[in-house]
Amino acid sequence: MGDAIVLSGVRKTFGPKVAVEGIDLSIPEGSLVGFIGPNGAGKTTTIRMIMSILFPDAGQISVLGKASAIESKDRIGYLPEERGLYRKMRVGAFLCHMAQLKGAPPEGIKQKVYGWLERVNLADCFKKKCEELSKGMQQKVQFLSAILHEPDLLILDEPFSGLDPVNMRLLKDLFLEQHQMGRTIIFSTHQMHQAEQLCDRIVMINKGQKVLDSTLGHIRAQHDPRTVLVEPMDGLRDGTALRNEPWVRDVTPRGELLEIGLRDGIEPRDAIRKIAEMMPVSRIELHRPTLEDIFVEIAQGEGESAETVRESLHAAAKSEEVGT
Amino acid sequence: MNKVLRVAWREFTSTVLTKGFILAIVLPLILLGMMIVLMPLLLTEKAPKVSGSVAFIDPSGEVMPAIREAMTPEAILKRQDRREGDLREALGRAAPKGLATDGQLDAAAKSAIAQSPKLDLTIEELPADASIESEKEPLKTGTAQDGGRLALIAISPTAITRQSTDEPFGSFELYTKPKLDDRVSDDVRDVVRDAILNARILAAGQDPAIIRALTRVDRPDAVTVSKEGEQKTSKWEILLPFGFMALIMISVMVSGQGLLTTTIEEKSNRIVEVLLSALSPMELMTGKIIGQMGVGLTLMAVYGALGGGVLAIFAMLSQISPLNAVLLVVYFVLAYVMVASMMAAVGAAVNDVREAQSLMTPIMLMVMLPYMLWLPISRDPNGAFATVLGLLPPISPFVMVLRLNSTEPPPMWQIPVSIVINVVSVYIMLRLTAKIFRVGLLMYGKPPNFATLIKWVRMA
Repeated sequence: MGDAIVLSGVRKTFGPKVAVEGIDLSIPEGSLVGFIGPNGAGKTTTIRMIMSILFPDAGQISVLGKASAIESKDRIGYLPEERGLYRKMRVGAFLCHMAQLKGAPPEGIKQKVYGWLERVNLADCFKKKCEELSKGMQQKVQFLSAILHEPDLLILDEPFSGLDPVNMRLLKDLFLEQHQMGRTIIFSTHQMHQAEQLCDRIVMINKGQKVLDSTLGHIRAQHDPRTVLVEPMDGLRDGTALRNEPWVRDVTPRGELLEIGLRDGIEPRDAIRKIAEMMPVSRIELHRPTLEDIFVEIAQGEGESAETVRESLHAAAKSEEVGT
Repeated sequence: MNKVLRVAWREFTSTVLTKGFILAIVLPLILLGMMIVLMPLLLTEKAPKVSGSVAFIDPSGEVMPAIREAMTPEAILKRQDRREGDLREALGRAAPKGLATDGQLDAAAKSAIAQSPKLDLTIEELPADASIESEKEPLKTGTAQDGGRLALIAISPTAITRQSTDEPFGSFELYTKPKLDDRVSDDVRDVVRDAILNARILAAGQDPAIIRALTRVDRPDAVTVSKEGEQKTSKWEILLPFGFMALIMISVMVSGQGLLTTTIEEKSNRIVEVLLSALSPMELMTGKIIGQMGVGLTLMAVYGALGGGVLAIFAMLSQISPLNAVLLVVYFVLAYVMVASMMAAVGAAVNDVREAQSLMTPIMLMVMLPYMLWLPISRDPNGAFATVLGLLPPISPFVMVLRLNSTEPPPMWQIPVSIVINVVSVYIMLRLTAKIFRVGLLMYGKPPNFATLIKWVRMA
C-alpha cells in the first residue's frame, strides 16, 4: 500500500508568526493517525494545508497520489474544527446538499441520508431545521456530512470535542467502522487519552514542528517506564531514605503516592524489589507513561518546564470543554 | 461546474423561499389589488353636509343681486356639475391617450365631486352700515359643524365704483367660523368674486357674457415634434426612465444585500471551511453570485411584469422597445456583478453584519448616486455630464438605462462602448474581490478596514 498523504518540508507563516516549520510526514493508506499537541501547536494549519484550504509557503504536499487535495477533494471527507450548519436549512436537505457538493450521485441520496440519520438516532430530524438541533445533534450531523460521500480519506479536526459520553461512544464506533472499512483517517485532538485509545499511529506537533511520529507500541517501547509509583503503608514516609540511593534520580510526592524516577542502569524490576525491601508498601507499580507524559518529556527536552507544558495541555482541554 | 450550480441553486432557493422575499414579491401585488378594490369603496363614502347661513355686508347694494342668484340650491348644484366637467376634462388631459375609458373618467370625476360637501346655505343680508366687528361675534361661538352663521363677507364700498380711475378697485373680506370646510369657503369666495366682476362689468355698461368670452384663453399642452411624429409631452415620459432605473436599482440592492447576508452567515456559522473542502473559493463565489443573480432577475421579472401590466392598462406598453428590455437585463447583470463582487468581499472580510456597515457605506453611496443624479441626467440625457457618467463605471449601467429610456436616447455607438467598459471593469473588480474573498473567509477576529483589505489583495 502507498501513502495517502506525503508532506515534505512544509512551512507556513502568518505575517511574522511561524505556524508550521518544516514538517515532513507520510501517512500510509488505511492507517488511523492521531495529530496531538496543545492549542496553537499548528495542527489545524497543517490540516488546512493538507486540505488545500491554505497553501504552504514552502514544501510539497501530495494527497491520495495527487499534487494537491483540490484534485481529489471528492475523495476526502473533512470535518473542520470550526464547523457549522446552515441554520435555516432542513437537516435532510443540508446533508443531501453537502454530499452532492462532494460529488455523491444524486440518485438515492435521500434514502442514504435517511439511513445514516437513523443510525445516529436522528431519523426524526430529517425535516427539522438545523437550528432546532442541540449542539450534540448538530455535531453528529456534521460528522455525517463528512462521511456521506464515502471518502477514501477522512480528516477530522477535534471530532469529539464537546460530546456527551453516549454520543462520544456512538461517534467513536462509527469512526472505528470507517477505519475497518480500510479508509485512511487522520484526526487531531489535544485530549491525549483519546489518541491513545483510538490511534495506531501518533504524530505529535509542538510549536509548529513535528516532535514525534510513530506507532503507539513503538513510542511506548522507546519511552520505557522509568518511574515507579509507591504507596507507603504508614503514609508518613517522606522518602528521604530513597533519595540517598544512587539509583534514584528523584522522588516526587503525589498525594498519597511517591513517584520515584529511576536513573539509567537499573532494571525497573530490581528497583521495585529494592524499594519493597526498604519500606513497607501497600502498593507498588511500574508507571507506564501516558502520551501526555511523553509529550511533557519531549517538550522538556526542548527546554520547557514540565509544569508549563502540563498546564498548557490542561488549559487547552478545559477551554475546549467550556467553549463547546 | 456542477458544484457551482449546486451552490447557486442553494443560494437562490434559500433567499427566494424566505418570508421576507415572498413578502417583497406579494406585498406590491396586494397593495395594487387593494387600491383597485378599496379606492372606489372609500370614494363613495357619503360627503359631509354643511348647513348654515352666510352673512353679507354690501354697502353699494350692487353685488347682492348676483350673489342671491348664485347661492340658490339649483345654482350650487349647477356649479358642482360644472366642476365635475372641468375635472373630467382635466383628468382626460393628465392621463395619456387611452389611459382609461370615458366611463372610467366620468366615474372618477363623479366620485371626486361626490366627496365635496353638500351645501345647504341661506343668505343673511346685513344692513349696509352694519359693524363688521359686532357681526363677527356670532362666528365666535361653536364650530362650523354647529350650524348658525358660518361666514361673514364684507364687500368694500369701492368694489364696484372707485373714486378715480387712478385708484384700484376695492375687494372684500371673508371671515369664517373655525373648522369650516375649505371647499365651502372656496365656493363662497368664487361666488363673491364672480358677483363683483359681473357688477363691475355691468357698471361699465358692458355685457358680462361677452367680456368673459373675450378674456378666456385656454392653456395648451406642449407637443413634441420629431421625425417619428408628434407627441404630447406628459409627466410619464420623465417617469418611465426613472421606473427602469428604479427596477434595476432595487434588483441590484436586494440581490447584493442577499449575497452579503449569506456570505456572512456562512462565515460566522463556520460552514465555510466545510464548503471549501468541497470546492475552491472561486467556485464558491461564482456559485453564490450566479444564485443571487437569479434572485435579482426574479425580482426584476415580477416587478417588471407588474410595471408592464400597469403600462398596458394605460396603453403605453408600446413606448418600451424590446431592445431596451434586453439591454435592461444586460445592464442589470453588469451592475449586479460589480456590486455583488464587492458585497461578497465585504461579507467574507467581516465577522458579522454590524461590522459590514462601515465597509458597505461606499457601495451603497455608489448605487444611490444615479438616483440623486436622476433629474440632471433626464433633463439633458445627451449632455456632456450624462454622456460621461454613462461611460463611467460603476454607475454607468444605471445611467445608461436612464438615458436609453429617456425621450432622447443616446447614440447607438455608446451602447457597445459602455458595455465593453463595464465588462472590463467588472473583470478587474472580480479579480480584486476574489482575493479578498479567499483570504477573508478564514480570517476571524479584528474587523478589517480598507487598509487591511488592500493588504489581503497584495497577500493573495
